[in-house]
Amino acid sequence: MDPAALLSLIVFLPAAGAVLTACAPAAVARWIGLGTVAATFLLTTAALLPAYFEATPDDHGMRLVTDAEWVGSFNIRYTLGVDGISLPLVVLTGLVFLLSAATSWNVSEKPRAYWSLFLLLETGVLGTFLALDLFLFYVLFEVMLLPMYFLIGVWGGPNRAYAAIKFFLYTLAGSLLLLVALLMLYAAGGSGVGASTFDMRLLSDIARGAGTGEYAGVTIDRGTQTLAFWLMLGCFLIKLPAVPFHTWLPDAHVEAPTPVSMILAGVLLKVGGYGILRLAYPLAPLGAAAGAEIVCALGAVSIIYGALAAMAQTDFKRLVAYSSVSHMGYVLLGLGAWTLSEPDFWKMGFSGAIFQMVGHGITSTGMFFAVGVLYDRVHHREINRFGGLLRRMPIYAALGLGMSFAALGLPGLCGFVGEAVTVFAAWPASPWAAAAAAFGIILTAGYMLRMVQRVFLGAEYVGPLRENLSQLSGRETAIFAVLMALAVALGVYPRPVFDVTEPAVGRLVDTLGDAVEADRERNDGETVIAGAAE
Amino acid sequence: MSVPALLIAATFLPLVGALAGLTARWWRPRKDDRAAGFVASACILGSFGLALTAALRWDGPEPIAGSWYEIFSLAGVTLELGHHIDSLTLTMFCLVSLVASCVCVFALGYLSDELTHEHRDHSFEEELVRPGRFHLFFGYLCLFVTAMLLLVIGGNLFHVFVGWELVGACSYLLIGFYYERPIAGAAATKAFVVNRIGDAGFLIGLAALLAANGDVRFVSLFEAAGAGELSRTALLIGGFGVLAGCVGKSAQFPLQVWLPDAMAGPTPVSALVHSATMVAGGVYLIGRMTPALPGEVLLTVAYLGCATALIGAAPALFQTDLKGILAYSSISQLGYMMLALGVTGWGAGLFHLVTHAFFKSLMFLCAGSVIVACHHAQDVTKLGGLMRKMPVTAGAMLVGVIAISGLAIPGVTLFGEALSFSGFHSKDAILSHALAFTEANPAHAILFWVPLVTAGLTALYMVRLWGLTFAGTPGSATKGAHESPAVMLAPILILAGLAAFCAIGGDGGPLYGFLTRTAPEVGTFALFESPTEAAVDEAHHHAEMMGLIAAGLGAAAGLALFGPWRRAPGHARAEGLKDAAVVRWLRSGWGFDAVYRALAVRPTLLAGEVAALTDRSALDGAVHGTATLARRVARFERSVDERLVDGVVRGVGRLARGFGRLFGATQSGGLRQYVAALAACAVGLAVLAVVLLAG
Repeated sequence: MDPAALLSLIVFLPAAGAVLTACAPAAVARWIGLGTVAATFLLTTAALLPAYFEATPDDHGMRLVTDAEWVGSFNIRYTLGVDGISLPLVVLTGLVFLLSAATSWNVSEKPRAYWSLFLLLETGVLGTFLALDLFLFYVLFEVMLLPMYFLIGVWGGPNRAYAAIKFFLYTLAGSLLLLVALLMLYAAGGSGVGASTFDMRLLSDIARGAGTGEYAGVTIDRGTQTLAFWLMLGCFLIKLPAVPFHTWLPDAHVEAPTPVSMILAGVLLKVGGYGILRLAYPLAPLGAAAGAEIVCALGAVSIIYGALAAMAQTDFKRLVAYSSVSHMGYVLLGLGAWTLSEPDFWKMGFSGAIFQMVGHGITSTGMFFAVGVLYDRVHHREINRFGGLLRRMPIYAALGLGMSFAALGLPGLCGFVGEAVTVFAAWPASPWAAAAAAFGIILTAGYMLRMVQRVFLGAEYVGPLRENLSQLSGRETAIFAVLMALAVALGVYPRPVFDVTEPAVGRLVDTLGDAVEADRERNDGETVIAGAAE
Repeated sequence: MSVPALLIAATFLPLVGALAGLTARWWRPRKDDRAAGFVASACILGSFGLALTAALRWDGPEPIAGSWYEIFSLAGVTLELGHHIDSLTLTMFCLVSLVASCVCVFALGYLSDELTHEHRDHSFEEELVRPGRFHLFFGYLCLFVTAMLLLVIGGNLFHVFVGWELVGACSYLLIGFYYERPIAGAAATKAFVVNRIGDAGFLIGLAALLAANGDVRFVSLFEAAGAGELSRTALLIGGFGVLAGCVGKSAQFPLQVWLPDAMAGPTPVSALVHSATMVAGGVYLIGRMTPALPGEVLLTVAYLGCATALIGAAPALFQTDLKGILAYSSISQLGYMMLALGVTGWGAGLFHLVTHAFFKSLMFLCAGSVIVACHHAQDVTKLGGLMRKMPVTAGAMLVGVIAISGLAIPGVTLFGEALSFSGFHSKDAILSHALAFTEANPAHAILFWVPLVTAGLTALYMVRLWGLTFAGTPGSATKGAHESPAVMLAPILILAGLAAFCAIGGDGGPLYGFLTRTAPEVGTFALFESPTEAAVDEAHHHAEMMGLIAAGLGAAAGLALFGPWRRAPGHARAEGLKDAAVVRWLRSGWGFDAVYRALAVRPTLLAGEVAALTDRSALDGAVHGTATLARRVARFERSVDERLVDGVVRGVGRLARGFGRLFGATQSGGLRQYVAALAACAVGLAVLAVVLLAG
C-alpha cells in the first residue's frame, strides 16, 4: 500500500464503518463496530509503526505526509502527517477505542446509532492528531464534539442532558477561541508574494521568522502571537482540562456510560496537551515564551486542586474524574518547563508530558473500566458502600489494586515515569511548581488508598445487590489485563515512547529556542539602533 | 560470574518465588501444601548464596559501578537504572537475604494455619471464615525481597527511589495481609501515606541534584560534591530532601507514627520488613549519601536520631502489646543509627544496622513463636511463665535482650573477648563516637547524654518484656502453650547465634572491618569539628564504662520490677502507675497521632471539602451564572424580537393589508375592467416615457 494513503485510511476507515453501521441491521451493528475499530487498531499498529520507522522525515520532521488541495480559493489543503509527538497518541487512540469497543459489547439501546457515533468519534480523534492543516484540524476538532455530545446525552446516566450540554458548551467556547486564533494567524501569515496559508509547518516557520521562498522575511508580530497564544491556550486548557476550566469533566464522566468515559479520559483529554504542543507553542512561540511560566503554575495548581477535590468525593467515578484533573496537571507542568539555558531539561519536560499523556491514557482508562465493572453489577458508585471486594472478586480487585498503584505513581508502573520526569524537568524552570507537584504525590496516595481501603479491603461488601457481585467475565478480564500489562511494560521500560518522542521534541524545542533567541537579537538590535539614534 | 552479575541474579531470583506465590491459586488450588512456600524459601536462600559468593569474590576497596538501562537520556540529563557495589552494598545484600531466608523458613511454620479452605479469623466479634492465603504471603514476601535488593544495589539516587517506593508498596501489601481486619487496612494506608510525605521531599531533593549535576549517579555526585562543583543550595536541598525520605522510611521523628501501627501485619513481616530491613533503608541511604551531605544535614540527622532514640524508648516502657514494645524499640534503635551517622560515626551507625537486624528479627521471631503458642495472644499482661513451656524460645529471646541492651560482663573473657553480644559492640561504637563528637563540640553535649540515658531505658523495657512474658507465674493466655516446631526454631537458633556473635571483635573484628572497607572519609565541616580517630579511640574507654553502667542500672531496675519474683502474673510492682495520665500519654506514643490528626489530616480533608465546594459553588456557580445570563439575554432578545421587530414587521404587514384592501376593490375579476386598466397604464407609461426622454 502507498504509505502516504495509510493515514487517510486510518482516519476515514472508522467513518466508513459509521456509514455502514447506520445502514446495516441493528443486530450486526456491534460486529461491524468492533470489526472496524479492530481493523483501525491494526492499521495504527501493525501497518503504521513499520511504515513510520521506514519513512524518512521531511524538513519539519513529518512522515507519511499526504497533501492535496481542498478549498483552493482560501488555500485550505487536506494535509495529514505523523511525527514523534502524534504517533504515541495515535497508537493510544487505536488501543483505547478497541478496549472501549469491547466494553461497549452489551450496549442494547439504539445500537446502530451508538456504534456509528462511536466510530465517527474515532475519525474525529485520529484526524485531529494527524491533521497538519489548521482548517482541517479545526473541522476534525469539531467532528469530535457532536458524537461525544450525543453519546453522553443519549446513553448517559440520569442527569445526562445537563452534563452533555455542559460538555458541549464548554468545548464549543474553547473551539471558538481556537477559530479566532486560527483566522488571526491565517491573516498574519501571508505576504505580498506568498498567499495566506493554514499549513502548520509553514506557519510555524513564519512565526519564528524563518520562512523560506516566497515567505522569506514574513513574520507574525509579537502582539498577534501573544493574543493568538492565549486564545489557543484557552481552548486547550478547557479540553485538558486545567483548573479552573475543569468543572465540565466530573459531570461529563459521572453521566457518561463506561466506554465513553474510557475514551473521554483516555484519549479526548490528550487533545488538549497535543494542541498546546502542536499549535499553541510552534505557531506563537513569542507569546508562549512569555506564558510558559503560567502554564507551569497552572499545572501545579491543577495537581494540588484536583487531588484535594478528589479526596472529598464519595462517588467512585467522580473521584477518578478529579484524579484525571490532577494527573493531567503533570502534563501541563512538563509543557511549562521552558528552560532556555538548559534545553535538555526543556526537552525532558515535553517528552515527559507526552509520556504522562500515554500513561494517563492507560491508567485512567483502567480506572474508569474498574468503576464500570462495579456499576454494571450493583448499580451504585458510593465508595462507602463497597468493601470486601478483594475477597468477593479477587481477580478484579487484584487488577484494580494494581491499576490504583499505577495511577498513584508507583515506580515500575506507567504513572510514575511521567510524574517523575515532568517534576524533574520543571525544577530548573520553576522550582516552586515542581515542589508543589512533588507534594501532590502525598495527596494522590491519600485519596487513592482511602478509596482502595473502602472499596477493595475490608471484611464484607456493605452495599446493595450483594448477590450480583459475580466474578469478571473473560471479556472483562482480558480488557483489564491488557491495560495492566501495558502499565507494567511501560513502567518498567519506557524507552519505546521516549525514543519516538525525542527527535520530534528535540526539533520542536530547538525551533522554539531559535524563535526566542532571534526575537531577543532583534530587540537587542533595535535597542542598539535606538541608542545610536539618541 | 562477576560480582555484579551475581548480585543482579540475587536481586531477581526471588521474583521467581513471587510469581509462584502470586499465581498459586491456579497451580495449587487445593491450598493444603506448602509448595509456594518451598519455592520462595529456595529462591531467597539461593539469593543469599549468590550474595555470599559475591561478597567472597569481591576483591577490592574500589566500588564497582555500572548502568543497566536508561529510562531517559539526553546529553545533559540522564535517568537510569544501574548498580553501585562496595562493601556496604555487599553487607546489605548478605544481611537482607540472610534475614529474609530465616524469616521465610520461619513463616513456613508460622503461617501453617493458612493452609486450609476455612481459615478462622478470631479478631472479629463474629468469627470470620475465609480461604487461607498461605501462598500469597510468600508471593508478597519474595516481591519485597526483590524490591529491597533493588533498593540496595542502586547505583544512583533515581534507582534507589524506584526501589524505595517499591518496598513501600510491598510493605503496604504485607501490613494489609489480613485485609479483612479494618485495623490492618488502616495501618497499611497510614504507613504508605506517611512514607509518601518523606518521599515528596526525596523527590524534590532528587530534582535539585539532577538539575545541578545532570545525573544522580553516586560516583559522579560524590565527585562533583568533593570538587565543589555543586552549588550549596543544590546540596542543601538535595541533602535535606533525601533526609526527608529517610525520616519517613526509617520511622524517625517526626514521621515515626506509622511503625507501631504496622505491627498489624503478620509477625514474620514485622521481623523482616519493619525491623531488620526496610526501615533500615533510610539509615542505609544516609550512609550511602554521606560524602555528598553538607554539615547542616548531618547535624540535623544527629539531632533527629537523638530525639527519635528517646521518643521511641519511652513508649516502649509502657506498651502492653508484645509487638508494640518491639516496634517502639525499633524506632529507638533506628534513632541510634541515625545519631551515629550524624556525628560522623559512619561505621558505627551501619554496624548497628547489621547487629540490630539480627537481634531484632530474632526477637520478633521469638515473639511470633510465643504468639503462635498462645493462640494469637500478644498482650504481655496475659502472658508470663513461658520459660518452662518454651525453653528454647525463652533462651533465644534472652540472647536478643542481652544483645539489644548492650550488656556485657567485663573481666570475664571468652575466646579472648569480654563476654558480650553483638549489640554491646555496636552500641559501644556509637556511644564512643557521640562522646568524641561532644568533646570536640561541647555545645552539642546532649548528643551523648540522651543516648546514654536511652541505653538504660532500653535495658529496662527489654528486661520488662522478657520478665512479663517468660518469667513469673503462667498468665491467662498461656494455657496449653508448648514449644514451637523445628521449622520455626531452626531460624530462631541461627539468628540467635548471629545476634550473639556476628560482631565479634567489635570495631576490630571481621564484620566491622569488611563493612568499613569502603567507608567514606570523614569530611571537614564549618558547622562543627569532626572528631579524629584518635579521639574516638580515646573516648572508647569512657563510653564503654558509662554505657555498661547505664545498661546495668536499667537491667537491674527491670529485674527488680518485673523479675521472676514478682507477685502475680502480669502484676508488676509498678502497677499503680498503669493508668496515670502521663503513662497513658506515653503509651499512646506521646499523643503524636492525635496531634497529626488535628493539624494535618483534618485540615487536608477540610481543604478537600473546600475545593469540592469551590467547584460546586464558585466555579459551577460562575458557569451557571453565565448560562442564566445567556438565557436572560435570550429572553430579552426574544421580547425585543416579539414586540419591537415583530411589531415593525406586523406594522408593515398591516400597512400592506390596508393597501391590499384599498386596492382589493379593483380586483373585481372583470376582464373588461382589467383590459381597460392595462390600456390606461400603457398609455400613461407611454406619455411618461415621451415626457422623460424628451426632457
